[in-house]
Amino acid sequence: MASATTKKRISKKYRGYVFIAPAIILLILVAVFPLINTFTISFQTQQQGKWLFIGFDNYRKLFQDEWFLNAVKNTVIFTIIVTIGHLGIGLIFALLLNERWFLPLRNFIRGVLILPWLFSSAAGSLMWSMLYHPVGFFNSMFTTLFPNATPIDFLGNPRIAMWSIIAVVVWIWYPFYMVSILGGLQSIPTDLYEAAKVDGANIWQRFWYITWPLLRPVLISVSTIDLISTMGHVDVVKMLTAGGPMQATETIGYYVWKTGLRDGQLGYGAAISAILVLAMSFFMFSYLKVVSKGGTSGTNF
Amino acid sequence: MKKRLSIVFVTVLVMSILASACSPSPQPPAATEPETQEPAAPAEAPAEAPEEAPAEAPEEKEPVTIKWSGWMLNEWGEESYQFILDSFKEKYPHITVEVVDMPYNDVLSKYQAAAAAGEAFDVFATEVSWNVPLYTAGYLEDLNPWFEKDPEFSDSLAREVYDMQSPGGETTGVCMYLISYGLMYNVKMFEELGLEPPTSWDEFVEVSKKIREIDPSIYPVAMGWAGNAAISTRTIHQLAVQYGAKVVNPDGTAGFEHPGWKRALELWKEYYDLGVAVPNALGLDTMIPREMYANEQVAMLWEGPFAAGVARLANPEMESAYTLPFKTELGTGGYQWTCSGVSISQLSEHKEEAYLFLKHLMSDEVADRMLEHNKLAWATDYAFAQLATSDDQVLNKLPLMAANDPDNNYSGVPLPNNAQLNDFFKAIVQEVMNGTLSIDEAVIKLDEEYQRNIDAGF
Repeated sequence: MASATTKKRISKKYRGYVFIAPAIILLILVAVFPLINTFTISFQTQQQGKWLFIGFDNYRKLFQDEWFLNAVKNTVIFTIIVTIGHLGIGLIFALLLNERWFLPLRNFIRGVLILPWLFSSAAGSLMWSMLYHPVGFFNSMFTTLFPNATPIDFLGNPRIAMWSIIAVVVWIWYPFYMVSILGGLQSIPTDLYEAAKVDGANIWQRFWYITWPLLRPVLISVSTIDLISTMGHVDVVKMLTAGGPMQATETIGYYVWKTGLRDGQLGYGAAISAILVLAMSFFMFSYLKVVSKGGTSGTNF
Repeated sequence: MKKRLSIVFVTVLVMSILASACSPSPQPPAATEPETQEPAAPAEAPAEAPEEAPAEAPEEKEPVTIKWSGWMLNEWGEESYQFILDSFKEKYPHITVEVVDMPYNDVLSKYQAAAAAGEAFDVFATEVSWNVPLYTAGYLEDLNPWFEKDPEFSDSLAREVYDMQSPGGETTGVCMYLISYGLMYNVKMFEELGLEPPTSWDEFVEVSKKIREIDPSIYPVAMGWAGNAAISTRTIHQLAVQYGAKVVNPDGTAGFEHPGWKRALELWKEYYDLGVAVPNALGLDTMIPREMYANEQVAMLWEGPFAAGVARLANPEMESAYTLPFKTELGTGGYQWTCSGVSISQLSEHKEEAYLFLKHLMSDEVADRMLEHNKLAWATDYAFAQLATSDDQVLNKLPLMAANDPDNNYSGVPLPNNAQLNDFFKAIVQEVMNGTLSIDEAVIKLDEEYQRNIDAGF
């Protein structure tokens, strides 16, 4: 009798695990397994289809690879500026769309502002490559206005190319951040603003003492998503400049694709990916620690 | 709570390790397997290579589907593809060929991914420069055993062009159609502008200036120097080869100390700085000059003969012609040859059928069709013999180009880390054009880097 009760208790105790098992299996298949596989491959190299264990050789090579170090530098610049662009533009448009005086036009403007998000990165890049073309729209306008000027080398000048790519990436994805921030703004109770107005707070004070603190959890979430997705970016770079000119736009994500898939150095590509994962994890952990300090509820992931 | 979490964590970890260990990709083995330096065992060659026509009644054979992949559907057009498939189906009704077409820029990475996943494109179009990574991935079937059993077919291929040799000495593919890069021009535009096609570099510069003077809305030429291929084979290599230079010397050392490289860089730099070509060359992809040529926005194009075919698909009225090799002060003017090839995957489960399709691709009827409809010079003795009498001004120059100075003609060889070397070459040339690197330093850097890779081996 006692044994049957124990059995029942045990089965009840483990019932929870049974329920979460499908989710855990899925997690293993789509996240944990590829991660472990990447780390495993990073210690190997391929020779005529055979995998050979080479210890830390790929990692040693990585820190002597000037192009990898250049890609790290480019990625840091690219990620920081794109994230600031996304959040800055997203915040400005979200604040505008959240204003009452904007109501009559809100739906129309919101639709227009969301348009870039409908473009896939391939379609967006293709469209911008035509706009950036030496005889494309921007340069035609420019040379019409200034007939003696040389067309702007948007993608071929190493000083301008990175900015041209940043503009495209910011343009395609700012609507996501705008919508997320707008959702956050609309969840702030209006009576807080009314009370602040009664107390004589001006628009800046209302933003700084009410909007900003209450929006912080949303901003932390979206900036984290943005930093992670931007850091591993490949497609726009691949389509617009292929990392050039002179490696000026080569990001780590693109470098992983190039070495791993184009050049067939899967082991080396996996080593770069492994370093990227570790660096991102460390960076995200530190970032969340810093930005969540003294934060409101909802900031802890 | 902590204990439960630990149990979950350990379970996840163990299952992942098990899953990782059981994974079919990457293919065995293993870290612990003895270091395999030797090439993989040659694929089992058939006792007899399959005959061109089936000996037995086709209906007795098991239906088989093979995959044929490449990037040429847009270049050749659907009709030519259909012709190839239909004529093959007529000979071998039991074999169905499934076409997998992809954009050129993605092809190598798709093949790499397929190799890593153990998935076979039974027959696939390829390039010499892709041989090294695909060979490393163990994806290429050695065709030597097949050719030994089938000497008649093997002898019919234009072997003088070259086979797609792998680093291990196997024949890992055959040259499907040959390409000699040169300066192509739009015949009608030249007539309308009242200009003669250039016969030397100086004339090329003069003609370029005149085109801009006569009609500022068109450009003489566009250089797609954001792409590896355009900066090497189409322009810089092309001119260097006309000066007798090679990437790799006959003794196997890097060849950038040859004065032809310096001269080619000097001339292109002067031309780039002249500002007559489509601006922003360092930001133009390889495909843009082709598009601008097809749209008659540029009058000349440094390209292979297939570009004339592509332009004709977009603009059927367009007539293109090649200029002959420029006379240079250093050499008699060689030409750079290359070809796009066809290979069989070592992972294919239907190698016999794949070999039959490869034979069909290289057959006289396909060669005729491709010459007539696509203006492509098929790499067989039969097709090569047709070129001299072709009325196409691009194709009929090819034998002349080849014969002009055979010693200085150059065809690409598989190099270790070929793709990275191409990237390096591109970056160096871009720095030269940008004015941040001197030409003297550039050739030294190129020679050192290429030699370092050659020394490191495959």
